[in-house]
Parts: sequence; structure tokens; C-alpha cells
Amino acid sequence: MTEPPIRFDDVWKSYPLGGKRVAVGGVLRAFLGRPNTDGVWALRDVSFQVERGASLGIIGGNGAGKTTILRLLAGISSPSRGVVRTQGRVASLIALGAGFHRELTGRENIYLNGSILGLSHREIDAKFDEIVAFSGLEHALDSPLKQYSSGMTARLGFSVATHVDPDVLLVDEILSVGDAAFRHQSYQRMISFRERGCPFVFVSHDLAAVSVLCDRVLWLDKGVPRLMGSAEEVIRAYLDDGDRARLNEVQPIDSSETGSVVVDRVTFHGGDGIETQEFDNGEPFTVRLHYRAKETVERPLFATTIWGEKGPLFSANMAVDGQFPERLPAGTGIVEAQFDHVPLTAGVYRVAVLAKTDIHHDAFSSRILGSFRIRSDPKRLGFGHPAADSIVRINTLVRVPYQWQVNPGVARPTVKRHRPLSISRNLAPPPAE
Amino acid sequence: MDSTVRGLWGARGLVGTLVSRDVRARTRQAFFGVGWIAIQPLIATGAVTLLVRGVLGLELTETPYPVFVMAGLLPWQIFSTGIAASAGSLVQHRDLITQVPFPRAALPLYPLVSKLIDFGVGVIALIGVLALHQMAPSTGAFLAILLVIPAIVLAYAASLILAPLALAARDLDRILAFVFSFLIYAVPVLYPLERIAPTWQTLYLANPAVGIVVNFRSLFLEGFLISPGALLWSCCVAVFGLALALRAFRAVEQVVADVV
Repeated sequence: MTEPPIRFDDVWKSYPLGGKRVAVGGVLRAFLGRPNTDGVWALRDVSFQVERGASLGIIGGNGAGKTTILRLLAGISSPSRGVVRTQGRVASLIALGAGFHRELTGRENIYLNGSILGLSHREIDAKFDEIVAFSGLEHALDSPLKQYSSGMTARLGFSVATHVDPDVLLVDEILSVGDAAFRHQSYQRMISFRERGCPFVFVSHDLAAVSVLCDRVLWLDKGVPRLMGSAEEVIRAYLDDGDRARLNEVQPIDSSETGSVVVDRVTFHGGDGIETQEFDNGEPFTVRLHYRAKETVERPLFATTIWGEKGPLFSANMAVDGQFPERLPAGTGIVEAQFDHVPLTAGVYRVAVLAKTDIHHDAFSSRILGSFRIRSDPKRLGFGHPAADSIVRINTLVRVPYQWQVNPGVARPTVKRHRPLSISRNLAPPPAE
Repeated sequence: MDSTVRGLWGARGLVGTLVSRDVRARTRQAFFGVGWIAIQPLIATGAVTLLVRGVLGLELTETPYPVFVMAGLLPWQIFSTGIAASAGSLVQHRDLITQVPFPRAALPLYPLVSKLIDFGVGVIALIGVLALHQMAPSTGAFLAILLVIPAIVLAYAASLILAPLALAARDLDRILAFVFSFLIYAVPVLYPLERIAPTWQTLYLANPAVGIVVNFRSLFLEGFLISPGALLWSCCVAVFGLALALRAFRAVEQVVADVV
């Protein structure tokens, strides 16, 4: 059996804690051949292999140890325990502008960086034009690097690193500073690398990119490997875990609400009326507002808005649909907004609530009172492509039922609708003055 | 072969690039350009000559004093300025250390290679000073230049130990500058070796820089080795020192990126 190009066996890595005495001690101990093993564990017992032509993605929150793995693979630092092996020339893109000098021109930096990667002057000469062409920086070659934007620096770095004919490629987050066109170009190049048999390890927070570029993914959590497997499986588990953690975050509730109608609490209910915080896409979904009226209120207005990570998504608002009650007696009670289908993709959503005693009265202060979660459920996405769930979630906000119609060979004339859309909702009559 | 040495051989292109970058950085925007490299030993020689012969009126040497001083100063500068620059090399390039893999032993080496260029320019300036005194280098001058090899090896061995320590203790460069400002009195640059009292001779000669300085001067100016024993001692210290320093550096190289 041939040795895989990347091997990472039972690796532990600790970093010495700060402090100058520790630093001096660390150097002295190393001189005496006794490296220190105390300190903070950045990695605990991580193992993986990457075969020829394969790719590994590493995901996890900040401080999970992702970059530490790349630094170990690159040979920048050594493991505290365990074995790290790579075969052949390793090209790494770990930090923006690594191996560049700010005062030197782009041209000089290509030679500097190339020689750091182990190329002779002549070898760089031979590749120079290709490197420049790929980076698209012909116009800036003779400007000093300090005048480059971070995106341009990343272009130059990626271009040099991938033109030195590496046997193993390591890419950290730095591509994210490039523009979309360059990212696309870089991803294409990484894929072509893999096809030529050169494996790569890719660290990113861009899960969409990881799912496209990597066939296997390792999820790290504070230095501990949580899950390793196919990209779809691991990304889904990672997102689910984040959802669950956020769902349990305590929502701050502002109790200083002073209106005559106050919503104290909000609960969520499924089609069977049972309270829950977890739903599937397309399920019946009810938001129940638990209110308290200090006095009898004429024509109160309730509203609730569903918020995703990027902003409000949809709402039910009595001031818009006119379905408010004529009169609300003093005391407690509930108001429900019932949705036939919840159109959301997997994730955690927050719910804001607003109660007013008159459309003209009271502050428009809506308050976040609760959150619920849409489960990821790959099997529900009919066709059952394993990645479908993650693709839908990463790329879109909502998912509504639809049908395709395929008519081969028929060129149908477009039929325009002349009748205005009729709204079949039961609108309440306008309030009589 | 030693793995560090093999790594260095693989990194020779990098050392070349770093040296040319260093030399260009020192000369590119300087008013005197390359001349600046020659001016430093000339001014130092002039100042010492003014003090010793002009102000104090001392006649320490048979050879003209400026010639004597400069011929000692050039090899000594490989140690004084070379080790100072080399010991700071890891600190100066900590971005490279934490971000890019390459043989770390190349970093303390390149400032010394760069000092060879200073040495070469200095030798040309020295020939000029000789001409002013109606003198010429001896026929052994070419062999004298070969003495830079043990000098560089010695300086490299010291730097391999000092450079990682400078990472942990950042004030080491200030300590070194301070120490080297005194160490010039511990080598026979400003005065001849014969002036050292016999009781101190053994201790004095234990300094491996002494053998290189005195023998370079005698070989370059007069064509013979004034103290072959001292030179042999220097070479032995250089070889054993380097072997030990490489071993120590290989161990410390593993933790360097974590300590930075």
C-alpha cells in the first residue's frame, strides 16, 4: 500500500502560555532537548489522512484549531505528540502577505516568495509569466507591495503558491479577501489540482465553498475533532449544532413595556396544537401571543415578525390585514397567528412581537420574544440528493412548494393574464366611525 | 549529511534573495550608496588614529597606525556587526517564521553573507589606504581573505545560539550592542598583541576572534602568519562550535514558531 501524501496521526499540540519567563524557558528547554508539553492544548488527538487526488475541508468556530493544523502540516511548527507527515513540496497560503516584503515591488516579491518556497531563480524565471497572468496584476508589478490592496496581495500569494508545482496545497481563509471572480478562479484551480492528483486541505468559514471543493470534512470544536465524514454530513451536523446552541441562548426580555396591552410571552405550536420549538419546512405553524390587557381596549393591533439571520423575512400584522378584534376585555388571553406552511429553510429564527391599542397610538417598539428552529431533514427533500439540504440552506432563505412542468418540443406562446389577481382572504370590514 | 546543512543547501536560493534584498535596502536610498559601506571603517580608523597618534601622541606600532587599525577592524567587523545583525534575524523575520515553512537556519546565515560584501568593499578601501602610505598588500593577501571562512563559521555558530534567545528575550540585541562596544578592547585591533601582559596572554588568546584578527593582518600586510597556533585554535573552536550550535538549533527550531 502506498503512503498517503498527508498523514496526521493522533496529533496533540499545546502552545506555551504567554509571559517572558515562559518564552525564555521554552527556548532554553528546547536547547536541552526537552520541549515543553504544558500550556494550552490547541489540538487534542486529531487524526486524518488525505489520499492522492482527495481534498479535506476543516470547519469549526474561531479558536477551534483549524489554522494550527495547517501550520503543523506546513512544517511551521511541530506537534507536541503524534506524527505529522507530508510528501513532497508543500505550498501553503496560511496568512495574507506571508513571505512577502512590503517595501519590495510585486516583481521582486514573486522572486522572494518563490525562493522561500524552494525554487531557484531560474525556475522562477520560467514560471514568471504564468504567475503574473494568473494573478492579473500586470499593471501593478513594479509598484511596492505596500500599495497593494489585501485582495491584490491574496491574488499574488495564491498565484505564486499554486505555480510552484506543489505536491500538497494548504489554503487558509485568505482567499475570502479576493473578489468573487478571483475566488472562482482560485477554486477552479484547486479543483484542477485535485484532479491531477495533488491533494489539498482547505480551511474556511465559507461552507458553500467547502461543500463544493472538499469531498471530506473535519469539524473541530476547541481543538477536539467532533466529526469527520462526507462534506454534506459534517456540514449539516455543524449547522444543526450551531442552531441548537443559538436556540438555547436566553432571549433578553424587556419588561419595561408600559402600554395598556402587553405581550408577555410567545409560544410556537405545530399542526396538532402542541407547543414546540422545532419544525420542519412546510409544516403548519402557529405563533401564539400571550397578552395581558390592563383595561378594556378598543380595536387592539397585534403583529409578529419572523427574523432570519439577515433580517426580517415575513410577518403577520393586523394593521395590514385588518383582522383585529373590535374589543379586547381587560385580563389575560392569547392571540394566534396561524400559518398553513412554514416556508423557511433549516436554521434558527427569532420572532418579534408588537401590540398597540390604536394604529395612531403607542410606540412602534417590537420586541424579540422567542425563537424557533427549522430542522434540517435531508429525506424530506424528495429526490434525496445527500447535499440537497445543505445546498438549499446555504444558498436560499425560503423554500416554498412548487411543481416543474417539462414539455419537450413544445414552444408555448406566453399567455398573459389580463384579470387582476383576486384576493380570496377574508378581510374584516373597515371599522365604522 | 546533517539535515540542517542539507536544508540550508536547499535554501541557498532563499539566502541569495535575502542577501540581495538586504544589500539593496542598505544602499538603494542612501546618499552615498555602496560608498557608505566603505565609509564606516574609514571613519572609525580616522577617528582612532586622531585620538591615539594626534591627541595622545602614542606610537603603538611599527606599521603606520591607520593601516594597522583598518586591517584589524575589517575581520573584527564580521564578528561585531555580523553577529549583531544575525542574532536579530529571527526577531526581524518573525512574520516569515510564523507563516511560511523554510529552513530556519537560513535566517541567521544571510546577514553574515551580506557582511562578506562589506568585507570585500572594506578590503578595497584598505588597499586605498595602503596606497596613501606608499604600501601595497603582500603576496599572501589572497590567502588572508580566506580567513573570512573561519570568521563566518564562528560568527554563525554564535548566532545560531543567540538568535533563538533573542526571540524569547527581546532586549538581547541591546545587550549585544553594549557588549560588543566593549569587546573591541578584547581583540588586538587598536593595539598590537605584544602589548598584552604575559600573565593575561593565555586568557586573551582563548578568544577565538583574536587568532583571526592578528593572522589576517599579518598575512595581508606582511605575508606570514604571526600566530599559527592562535589561528588553529580559532578554526577548532569554529568547527566544534558550529557542530554544537547546529545540534542545538535543530532542537530549538521545533518550538521557534510557537514562542514568537
